[in-house]
Amino acid sequence: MTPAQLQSAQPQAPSPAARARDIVAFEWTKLRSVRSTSITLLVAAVVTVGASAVVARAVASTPTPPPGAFSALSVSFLAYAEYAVIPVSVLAVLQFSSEYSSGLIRTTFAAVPQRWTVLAGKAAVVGAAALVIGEVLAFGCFALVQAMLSGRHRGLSLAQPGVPGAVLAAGFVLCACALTALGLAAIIRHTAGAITAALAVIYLIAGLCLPLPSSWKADVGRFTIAFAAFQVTALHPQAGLFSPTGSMLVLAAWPAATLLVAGLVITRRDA
Amino acid sequence: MIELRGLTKRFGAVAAVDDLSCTVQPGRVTGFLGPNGAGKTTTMRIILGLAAPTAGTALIGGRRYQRTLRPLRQVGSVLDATALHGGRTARDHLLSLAVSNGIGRARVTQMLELAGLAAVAAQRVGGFSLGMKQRLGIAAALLGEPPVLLFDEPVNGLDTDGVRWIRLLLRQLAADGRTVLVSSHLMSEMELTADHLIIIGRGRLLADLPADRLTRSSARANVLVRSPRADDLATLLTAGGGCVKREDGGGLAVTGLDAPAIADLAAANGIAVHELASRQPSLEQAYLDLTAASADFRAGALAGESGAGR
Repeated sequence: MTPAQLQSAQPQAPSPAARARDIVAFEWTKLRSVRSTSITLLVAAVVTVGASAVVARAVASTPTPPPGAFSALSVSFLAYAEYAVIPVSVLAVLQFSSEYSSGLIRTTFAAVPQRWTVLAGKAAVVGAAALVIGEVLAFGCFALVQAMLSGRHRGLSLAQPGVPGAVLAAGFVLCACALTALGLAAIIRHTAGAITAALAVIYLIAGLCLPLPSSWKADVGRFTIAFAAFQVTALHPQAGLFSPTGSMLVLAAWPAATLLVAGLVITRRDA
Repeated sequence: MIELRGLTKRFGAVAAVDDLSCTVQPGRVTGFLGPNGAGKTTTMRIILGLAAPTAGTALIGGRRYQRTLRPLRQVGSVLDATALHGGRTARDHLLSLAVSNGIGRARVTQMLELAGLAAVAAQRVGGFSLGMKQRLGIAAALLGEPPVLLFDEPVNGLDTDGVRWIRLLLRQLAADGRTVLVSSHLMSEMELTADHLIIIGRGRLLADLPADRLTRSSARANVLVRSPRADDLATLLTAGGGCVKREDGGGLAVTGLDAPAIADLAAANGIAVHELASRQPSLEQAYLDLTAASADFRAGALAGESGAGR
């Protein structure tokens, strides 16, 4: 190539759609090309389904049925809430923290210097992956648990009002947790710190509300991810907390706020 | 072309880069030299938009890096070749970068071959030697066939073959008309590779000049002459405008006259010359003289001189 050709080698600016395709392909290629992704998701799926079966068996074998249909539904998600949320949130944390710890973040920002775009790309890929995994596991756990309970005539079906929405919402909870964890990782940069922060936001804040006097518990607790997740996956939401719609907004607000702060921080900080 | 204008980067009270202005021209290899902590890497990070300058601008092709879409087609860079995810294969690493800038898969295969990594393309890079990681970094930098290239210490960790490969590659890239900026602390390597030098110390510009001028203009450059009539020749050369110093072993170290002038003077006066040699310090020596000066007040004067010389 001659110098003249090099000078004129200013390609046409890619369209916004092409840029969106680029960044999603970038982040997706990085996510799928490390073994830890598939191993983590496989472990999450196996453990969640396995634990759901254990829980369902225990519930099915209790002589006195737990009160109300609400329990029969929430039993579906007991294991899911613990064993799917943690590994998927850790995976989300790693999408940023592993790049910071290895220095690869500078390669990423050199390839795509528009840092809001990088954040949006990671959020799109991690959010979509978590949503797919979340819905698959939510429906899978529901089907498994209800099949095991139906033998005792305690099962629910998707045909019952409110049930499909609750199961869909359970899948979304995983997406919300993953995106919150992703935003925290961008802010904190270190893997251990970000995982601690993510688990604190997802579980610990709600846990701290439990010993509060009951009126406070609801007033404060309804803003937490765990209480909101409970409301959107329950067939009969608890009074005193936000409605399922309000709780969905709480679930959306956590990742939105975290990602917003993350974007403000990473665009102002030297890489 | 890379243009730095009044580039300044402060970390608290310390100026890592201090009012740095210079231009990196296409078609030649520009060596970016300076002692550790001189601000080379910080300057490169600012050029690549990774760090924000406190003052001043860094432009590539007249544009800030942050404003560039698909920048890998404009600027290729290797800052830290070890900055990789150890669990990813060499091919996937390059593929991710290629798709991020709309570059086709065929280029990935080409670059793996160019870097001599085709045989290990499917291996995870965690097991790569430092030399292999350097090659992978260079393959990534060349993915988009960019007209501007920045390399921070590219020969670190390479064996003799690898160093030679980089040297030839850099020279080829410059011969193609590309702008090539290479930082290094290995003067001997820069002597073989760089056409032009930008030398900084404590974040300030010390010199911006063709590589051969640094050694020629050094105070250490002189001509050694030996003659059986050394005393007569010394008198003659001093009269002819030279400055003569006697060396151990009977040689005369002459500055102010070049070798042909000395030979002509000796011949015209019938004085036999047994040895005549132009001596230049190594680039390393000239560089050490220059950077040693950066510690004292002469730094400003030297930078001023080189600035006026441009």
